[in-house]
Amino acid sequence: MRLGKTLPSLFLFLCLACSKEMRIEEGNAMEAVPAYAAAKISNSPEYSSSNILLLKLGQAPDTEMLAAFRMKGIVKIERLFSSTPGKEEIERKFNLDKWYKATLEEGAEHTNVAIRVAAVEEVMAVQYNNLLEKASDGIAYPYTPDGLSTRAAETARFNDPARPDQWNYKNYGSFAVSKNAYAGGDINVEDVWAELTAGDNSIIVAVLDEGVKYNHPDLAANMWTDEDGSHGHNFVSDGPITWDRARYENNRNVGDTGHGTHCAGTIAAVNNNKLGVCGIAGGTGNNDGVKIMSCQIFDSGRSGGLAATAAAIKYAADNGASIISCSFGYPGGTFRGDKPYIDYARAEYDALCYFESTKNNPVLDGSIAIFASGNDGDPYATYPGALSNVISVSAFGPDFLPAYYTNYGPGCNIVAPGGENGHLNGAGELTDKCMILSTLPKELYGADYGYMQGTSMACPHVSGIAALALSYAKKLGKTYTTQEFKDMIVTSANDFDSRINGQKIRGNSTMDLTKYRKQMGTGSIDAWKLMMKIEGVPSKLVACGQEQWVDLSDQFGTSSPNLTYLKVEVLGNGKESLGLAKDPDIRYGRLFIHPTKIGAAKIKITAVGGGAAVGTDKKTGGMQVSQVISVISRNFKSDNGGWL
Amino acid sequence: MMRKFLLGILFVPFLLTSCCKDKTLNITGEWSLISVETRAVTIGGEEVDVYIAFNADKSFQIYQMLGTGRYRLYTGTWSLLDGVLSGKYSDGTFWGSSYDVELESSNTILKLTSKSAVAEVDTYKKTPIPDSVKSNALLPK
Repeated sequence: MRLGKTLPSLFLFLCLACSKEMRIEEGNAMEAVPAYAAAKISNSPEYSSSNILLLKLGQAPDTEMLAAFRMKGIVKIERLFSSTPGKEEIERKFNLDKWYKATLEEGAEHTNVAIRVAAVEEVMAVQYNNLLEKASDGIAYPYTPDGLSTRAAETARFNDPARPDQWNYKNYGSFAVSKNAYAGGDINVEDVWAELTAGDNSIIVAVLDEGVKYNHPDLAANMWTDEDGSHGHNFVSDGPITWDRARYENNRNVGDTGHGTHCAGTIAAVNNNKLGVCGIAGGTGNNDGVKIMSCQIFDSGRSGGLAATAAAIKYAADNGASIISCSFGYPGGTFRGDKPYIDYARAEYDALCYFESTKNNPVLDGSIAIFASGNDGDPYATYPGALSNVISVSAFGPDFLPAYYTNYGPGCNIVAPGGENGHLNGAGELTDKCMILSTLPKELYGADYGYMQGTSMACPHVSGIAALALSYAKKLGKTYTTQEFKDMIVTSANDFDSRINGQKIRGNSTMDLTKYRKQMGTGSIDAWKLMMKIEGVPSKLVACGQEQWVDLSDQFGTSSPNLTYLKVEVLGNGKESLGLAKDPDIRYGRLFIHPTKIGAAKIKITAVGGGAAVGTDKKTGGMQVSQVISVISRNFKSDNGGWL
Repeated sequence: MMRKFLLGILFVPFLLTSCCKDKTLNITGEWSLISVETRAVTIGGEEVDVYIAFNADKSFQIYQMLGTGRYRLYTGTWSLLDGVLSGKYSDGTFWGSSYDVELESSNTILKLTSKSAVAEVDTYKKTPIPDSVKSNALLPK
């Protein structure tokens, strides 16, 4: 999908701006439309569904308004967001009660209808139902186990036979995956499974995507089920969830690809069931995996657009989801800054705000949205992921280097495995193993599992880790605001920059890495680090009477020296406790401090996660993240933090 | 020749005194920090929980929890000479200070006074280290 201002639309806008009125052709007649009507249309008709408009109304439509709409080409109007009993107040707070979905009569020209409807006084805004695209090439490669036992199989925590082919969980640097595979280039989850948690079946993750195959043998036990027995909803057709509607054009399948099923498997394929693959929060085999809710917004390759996405987000909020995993977006560069996106997709943004404010678990005061950063290879993330308060995930391959397709730069907050095709294995052959292995619909590929690549695949890694973290926090009785939790996720990262130099090898070609340096957010996500933050980060020892540097990698990850720091605040009476003559500050990515007394202080440090500056209304940028470091001062200290 | 003999006689008592002093200072065992200077085991409101095992083979383990989070395990070797305790961590880092050692209350209270520019007196009580601390401690990065 490519969006952008078209010349005709721009021309129309300018004409309307210059005159107080314009005349719109309607049938054989011309209709006068006030010029201000155009200003109510907040987005572009390019790549939008031609039979749907979204309307924001100042009041519920009465008979007279409905008649007016009918005359202008609308045959049906219904609330975009169905109201949930008991949530009316918060629905009003986020204006969800004002949005309507208008269905146009067949053959009506939607730009014409849009401008005429915008002229209705009670209409506050009109939006075209812009379509979105998945952050993956949509190509899957069926998995065929090679039956070889590997070192990974011998040491695996779970008995899922395909687990050794999931380098994204434990990367041994195997030549079977790539000649350039990098040991340790993974999400560091195995110790979490072994010692801490593998999920909690009260945590629900909504996958907004193609339909998830809910009866997949390696997903069924972890599917969310409502009281009517459904596992989600199809917001495109308003019918049953589907996942197997291939549709061919020029011998290429442009329909369902298994994308949603694949993403769901990364998050919560059932673990330890002697079957298939592992999922990050898939449990231990004791029905303790997190639950997947299928919120279908793509059907047979067709996007349900803004309307479907917005409705799906609200559905997720109203039905208990704590996380929405969103491997889709607009192409990079469509919006420069948060405001243009918010204006363009206001209904979707209102739903997102509603979701984030909805408390669906005992840990957080709201819920978390996680997006893919996009596959255009652009130096910025796509929206909605690029929003300054939303987590956006870029991708690396098995070589622990940026994948060739990934977006990077402002708005890209953190990196996770997304896979990368084109790698040669140790025998010099192309292999699929360099991509991400997960669940697939057998109806499409003749196999229950297969490989895909994309920031689409990276996004569910972070969603799964977030779900693990919620599970562990719940186990420990910890609570956080959503901002604190997002800050913890984005700062639980490993250095990803130090190897980004020169070129990398992918197959028989090379790829220059220069442009990715310091452009990959806070680094690569580390599940174990996030769990340790939930347990609590120990205080740092500092020496009384000395100026000294304090390393911040426990707080901001091992890329901490490369981040942009915004603020340092000593909390409470910490300044007095430590006898600080001057405020501590950040120098070369470390905290510089001079305590003069034995005491302690908590110091809040704010930095940018993903970019050199926080995103604003006018410019895409990173997320503002804060962490608190606790410092204990005594008369001496060792260089390694040991007590003696 | 006589002079050398006399020097030998003079030195021997001094050496005997040093050995005896270290032999009476038996710090082997497991200890729990109970105060830093005159403070209870909090500093500025942050809880400081430290267990130390001084082993007969001159190895040590420190289990420390500073403020919050899991106990961290530090290991290394120690030595006691002339009543001064010093040591080195397994990663090659020397202790932040060496310490004058005092034992009190039938060797159940251990006082370590740092030989830093400003001395700090840390007091430990002989206490078995809980299994729960040992089993869940993390090695520092």
